[in-house]
Amino acid sequence: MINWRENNTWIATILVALSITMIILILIKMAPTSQTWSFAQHVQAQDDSTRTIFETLDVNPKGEKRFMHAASVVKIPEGIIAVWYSGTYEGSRDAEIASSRFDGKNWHGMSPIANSDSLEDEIGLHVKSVANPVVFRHENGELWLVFAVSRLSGWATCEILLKRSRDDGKTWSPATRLYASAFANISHLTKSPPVQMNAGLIGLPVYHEFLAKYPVFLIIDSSGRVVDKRRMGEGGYVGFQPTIVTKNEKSAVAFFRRLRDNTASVMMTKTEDAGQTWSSAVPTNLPNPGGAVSAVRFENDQILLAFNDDPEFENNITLAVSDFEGLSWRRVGIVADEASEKSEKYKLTYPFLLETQPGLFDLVFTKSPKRRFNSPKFKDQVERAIRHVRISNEWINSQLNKVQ
Amino acid sequence: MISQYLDFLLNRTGSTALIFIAFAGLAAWFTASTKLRIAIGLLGILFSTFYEISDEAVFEWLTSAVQRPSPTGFIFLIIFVINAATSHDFKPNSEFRFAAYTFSAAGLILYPGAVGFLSFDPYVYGYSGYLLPSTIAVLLGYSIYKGYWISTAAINLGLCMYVLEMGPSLNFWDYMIDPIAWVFAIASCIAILIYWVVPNPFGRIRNIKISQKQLS
Repeated sequence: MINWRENNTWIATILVALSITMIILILIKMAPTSQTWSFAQHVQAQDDSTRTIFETLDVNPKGEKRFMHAASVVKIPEGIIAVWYSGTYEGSRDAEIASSRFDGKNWHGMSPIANSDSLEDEIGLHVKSVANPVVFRHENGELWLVFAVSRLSGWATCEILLKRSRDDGKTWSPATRLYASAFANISHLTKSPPVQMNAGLIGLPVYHEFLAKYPVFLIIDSSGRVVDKRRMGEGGYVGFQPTIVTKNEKSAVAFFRRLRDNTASVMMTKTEDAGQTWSSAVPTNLPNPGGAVSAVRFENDQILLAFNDDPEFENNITLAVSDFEGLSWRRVGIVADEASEKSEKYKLTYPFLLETQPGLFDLVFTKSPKRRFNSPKFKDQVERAIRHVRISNEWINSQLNKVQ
Repeated sequence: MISQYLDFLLNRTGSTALIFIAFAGLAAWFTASTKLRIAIGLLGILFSTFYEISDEAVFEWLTSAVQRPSPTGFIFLIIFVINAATSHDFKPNSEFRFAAYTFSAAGLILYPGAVGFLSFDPYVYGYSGYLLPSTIAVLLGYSIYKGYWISTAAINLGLCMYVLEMGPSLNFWDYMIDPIAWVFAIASCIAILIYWVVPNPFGRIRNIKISQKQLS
C-alpha cells in the first residue's frame, strides 16, 4: 500500500505524473500502422529490342583460390556493380566484402568494401566474419548494402549490418546495425534483395538460423531501422533464404530453399496483405537439393526463377517461368551446367537474379569445389569463381518457344 | 561521434557488471570486506580486458555476446552488483521479488518464441499494438500502488528512452527486458524458492558440518 508519509511525497507525485504521461505517449506511439502497408508498384518499361543475349563471364580474376561466395548485383549508370564475400575459408576472420564493376563488356576494378576489422571499428563490437552481402538501390537514390556478420562463432550468431553509398558504390558509410531479435540481436542473415513498399519502407526477406531455420520478412524504414517483422510460411519451419516477387500492391509470392528433412522441392508462400501474414508453405513442382533460389518478375505477369534443377545435387543453374500461382513451371533452360563439364568437381550455388534493364537479366552465382575437393590437398587443383550470366527477354522467349 | 562513443560505452555496461559480479561474488566466499570485494571485482574487469581467447580479450567476447542491457535490466543488474560487493540479501525485499517475478515471466513469454522454439514470435508486439503498453500500464499501476518507487522509476526510464528512441532498437521489448536480466531473474526466483522451502540453507549446511565435527 502507498505510505505517503514514509515516502517522499514529491518524488512519488512526480513519478505518478510521469507514469501517466509516459503511458499516454506509449499508446500514441504504438498505435498500429501495419494496416497501411502496401508494395510499391513499378510498371516495367516495355522492352522493344530484339537482341538475343546469352553470355557468361567470371566476375573475379581467373585462378582465384580464396573462398568466395554469395554475390549480388545492382544497376549503376555505367553498368552494374557486383558484391560478394571472400576469405581463406567460409567464416574465416579475414573474410571481406568485395565489389567489382561491369561496363557491359568486362568486369574490372575489384575492391574491398569492408572486413571484420573495419566493421569492428564501426560498430564497436567483436566481429568474427562476414557473409551474404546484398546490394540494392533505395528509392532515395542511395545504394544500400545489407550483409550478415557473425559476432561470436558460426552463422547462428549473426546479425545484419547496413552500409549506404551516395556515389554508386565508390564510397560507403560506416555500418549500422539492424535490430531484429530480442535475444542479443541474433540470428538473422540476408540472401535476397528487398521489395519496395509505400512510405519509404522496404521489405527485406531474411532468415533466422539459431535453433531453427525459418524465413522472416523485415520492414525497414528510410533511416535504416527495423520497424516491424513477420515470420513467413505461417511460422512453420519450412525453409530459409526467401526471395520475394510482388504481384500488386497487396499480393506477393516468396520462394525459399528447403530444409534438409523436408520434401525435395522449392518451397513457396504467399501474402495477400502486403506481408502482414504469409500462407502456409507449399512445395512447388520444381526440385530443390537444399540450395538457394532467386526470383524476379518477368514480363509483368510472370515469375522468372533461378534454381538447381536436381533434387540432390547443385550441379546446374536452371531458369523456369511461371504465372503468379507458382504451380505450373516451364523450364527456360540450363544456363550453367557443371555435370556436363570435364569433371564434377564443382557445385553451382547461390543464384542471384535481377532485371537490370528492361528485358535484360543479370544472374550471378558461385562456382566452388564440392566438399570432397574442398580440402587443402586440392587447393591448387580447384578454382573458385563468381560467375555472371547475362540474358535477354528475347533469349528467354526463344528458349520457351523451343520447348513448346 | 559522441553517439558512437556513447554506444561503445553502453554496449560494455552489461559485460562490465557481469564480470564484476562474478569476481566480487567469488571473493565473497573468503572475505567479508566490501572494499576488498570491490577491488577484486575491478581487478577481474582489468584481467578480462587483457586475457585473450583466439586473439580477442575475454571482455570483448562477453561484450559481443551480451551486448547492452535494457534500461530496466541495467537497474536490476545494479542490485546484483551491490549484492556481490556487500552480500546484502535482497530476497526478503518484496520489490526485489516483484522485479524478479516480472522479468522471469516476461522472459518466459518472449524468448522461447524469439529464438525459434515456437512458431510465433511475441517480439512483434514490441513494434506496434496496445497489448504491451497496456501490460506495462498495469505493472506501473501495481508498482505505484505498492510504493515500489525504484521499479516505477526503472520502468519510466525505459518508457522515456523508448519514446525518445534513445536506443538503437525501435522495439519496445528491448527497453523493458534483456536476456541477462532474465537469467538473473530466473536465478533469483530459484533462490527465493529454495529459501522459501528451506530457510537459510547455507546456514543449515554449516550447522550440520559443525554438528558432525562435534560428534566426531
